[in-house]
Amino acid sequence: MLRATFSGFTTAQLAMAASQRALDITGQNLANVNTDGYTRQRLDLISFNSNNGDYYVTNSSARIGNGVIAKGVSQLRDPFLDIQYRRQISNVGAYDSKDSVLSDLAAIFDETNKGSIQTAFQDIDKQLLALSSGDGADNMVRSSMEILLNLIHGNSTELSSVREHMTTDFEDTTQKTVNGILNDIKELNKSIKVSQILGNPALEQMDQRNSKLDELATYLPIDVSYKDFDISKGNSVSVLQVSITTSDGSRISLIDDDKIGEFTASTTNNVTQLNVKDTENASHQLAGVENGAVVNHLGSGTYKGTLDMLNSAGAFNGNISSEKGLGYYEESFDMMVSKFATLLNTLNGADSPDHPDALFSTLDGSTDFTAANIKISDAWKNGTIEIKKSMDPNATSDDKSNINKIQEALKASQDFETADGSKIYKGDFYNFYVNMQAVLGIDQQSTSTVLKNSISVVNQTTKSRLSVSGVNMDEEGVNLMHYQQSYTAACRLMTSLNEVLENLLNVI
Amino acid sequence: MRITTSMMISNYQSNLNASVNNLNNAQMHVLSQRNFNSVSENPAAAIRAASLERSYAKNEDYISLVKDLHSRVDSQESSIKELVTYAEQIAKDEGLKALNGTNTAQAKVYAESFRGLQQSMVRSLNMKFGDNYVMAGSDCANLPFQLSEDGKTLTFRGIDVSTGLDKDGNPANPSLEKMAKETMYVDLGFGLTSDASGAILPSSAFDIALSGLNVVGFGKDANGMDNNLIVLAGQLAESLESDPPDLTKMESILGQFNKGFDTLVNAETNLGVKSNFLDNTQNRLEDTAITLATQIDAIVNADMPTAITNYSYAQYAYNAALRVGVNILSPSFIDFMK
Repeated sequence: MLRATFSGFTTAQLAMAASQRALDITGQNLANVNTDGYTRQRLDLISFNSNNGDYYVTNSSARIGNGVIAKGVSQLRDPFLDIQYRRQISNVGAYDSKDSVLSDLAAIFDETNKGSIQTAFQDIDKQLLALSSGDGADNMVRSSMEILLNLIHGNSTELSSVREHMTTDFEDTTQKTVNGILNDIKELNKSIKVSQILGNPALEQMDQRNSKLDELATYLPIDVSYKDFDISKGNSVSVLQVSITTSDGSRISLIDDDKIGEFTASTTNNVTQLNVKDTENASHQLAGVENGAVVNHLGSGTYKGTLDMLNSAGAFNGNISSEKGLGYYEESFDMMVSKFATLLNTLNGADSPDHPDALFSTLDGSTDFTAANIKISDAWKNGTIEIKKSMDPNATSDDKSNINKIQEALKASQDFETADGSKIYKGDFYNFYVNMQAVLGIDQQSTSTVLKNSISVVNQTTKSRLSVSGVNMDEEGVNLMHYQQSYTAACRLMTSLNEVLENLLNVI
Repeated sequence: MRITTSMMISNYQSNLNASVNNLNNAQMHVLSQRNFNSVSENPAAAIRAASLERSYAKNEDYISLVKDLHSRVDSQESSIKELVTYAEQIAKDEGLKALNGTNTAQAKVYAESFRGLQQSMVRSLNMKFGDNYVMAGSDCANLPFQLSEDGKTLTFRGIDVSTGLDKDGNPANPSLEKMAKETMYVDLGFGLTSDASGAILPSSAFDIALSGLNVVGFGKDANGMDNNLIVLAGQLAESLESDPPDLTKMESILGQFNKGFDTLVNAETNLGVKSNFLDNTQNRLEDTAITLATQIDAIVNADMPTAITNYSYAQYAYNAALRVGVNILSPSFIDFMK
């Protein structure tokens, strides 16, 4: 077979083009060395040979290839590391949101550096002791009770503002953010699919989509998979599918190509419900009240952490082993206040907050005391009644037996139990409050330890990811030199062929 | 494993952050001089510290109360000492003199003296400490003893101490016996507890009540003679005022008076015992305060040399990390290309 005279030029031309493209890709990698989420790109080069075998003639000439073709640009990314990363970041999200709520609670209750309610209890003891020995006055005891109540109100106000803030944040901001992410992914899906059908691998957009998926993974435990979408026989592009697997095993499809789901949250009776509409528009409840019990079907993610803190109240809403969220501390605090007020009222001869001898009454007129509605009764406040020194109607002026009884009762161990009998604590009021802080502190300690562990695992996975997909400047520098040389070599080939042909043409 | 630029930078950042965190924690310990600044740092120590701090506060309350009670017992003691002086004057001095041969005129002088001593003794019985009558049992706001004009009747809260009848002639309720047993219990850290009926167990609190009835006596004995020293003193005066002085009667009354005097001296001794007890309690409480303060110090307060050393080391580690940072963005291959 004769060689075409000008065929060498094509080879040189193709080589130059390939080297030029390779240099461009190296430039792209170097430019994006600091871009978050960027995956390094690589030019796929194949050598090609357009010579077929001879059907009709046998020839002994050598079959030489025709150059190099830049087949396309591809990304270097390990999808398994992505799966690992997303699973870990979802754990981090759960513990991080829990940790931040516990810190908010610690700011309210932790008395290591401020000693307010504890000091108030100590002061009440002191005034009662003075009253019992004949040197104190009733209004001193009353004023130390007022201080205690002010502190209790303060804590209660802060607790409800934490809850309000968290609920509003969850219902509005978080849902908007997550629905926004889902929307962004949908748009990216559409445009990536179109690009890929038209032949453009859309690598930068895929990087963007992966970042969005990482962000989504912080909120929910997602499963990412790619399905093949046939555009014609033998040709397909992959489309993204994202689903959530709940803790009872069911799968809810969140994203399917260009169809996405939607999250909505609402709150009734201090329980926040999370609903999701899947890609087929079917509604599922992920968290809220089911059959009278508070449930959370999410296994990890910021949503799980936040919902647990908002909805679960430990032994107070039925399950001693469930998370001790805001509700646990709200109810414990209320229980302490209620028992305290009821006990003192009873020792003064009042069996309800509106009895004329009651020392404490409620701001809203109800018969149950809570941290928000307790107040010193009007009769005590304006001096109409005093703490009864003795319950004996014929008592002498210094019979302080009732004061002694009150002191004894305040030191005695109370049984703190929930409405259905689960034991919370047994001890006096001061120690109950200290115990609340201890439960909170221990929870905080364990959460922050697990959080630290999860973060360090995520860091490991990130490092592995970056190791595969990150840009190494040394490598790119070598590539620069490398492709520069190959470009020079291709040019050299061009000039050599040129000279060769010139000789031939000069002869003709 | 491939090392990439962004990997090195993110690695460096997270380690530098950890180093800064350590520095911050060490700094907090030095500045606050505490071993832990929140319950979550050391829950066990925090609970222990809260419990100890409460015990310490209660201890301080008890110490100040003990000092108060001690003053009250002191004033009770001084009142009894006065009574002893007066009673002694009657029993051991003028009484004997009056017995041993006096004429009517002298007897009248002694009688006057006895009447005067009656008044003095009632005044001692009605002694006040601040706003409280110290010998009024548990009714310290109201004047306990009153002597009638003729010096024959002494009333305790309006009840005649000899007969036990009130002003209308009815038996008093509660009776004098009950009133003499009145208690005023105060919590001094002995574990104030009440029994099933609601009465405080005597061993679990301190009784500050002192009833004048127990000091000077009340009611009548088996022979119908009055037990009360002041009534007896009045009767002595009466027997001296009669014309001629009834010395036989006086002798028997004086004998009864001496018995009452012994009771009085016993009451003084008992008070001395109480006073001693309060002294010992105060010493014990003050020792406990020191022990508690030492324990609290050990748990809560940071050992300053250790804390400062940790801080210095954390600072050194941080500076080293910063120095590393300068080299982290090391020259790469590109810097060496021509």
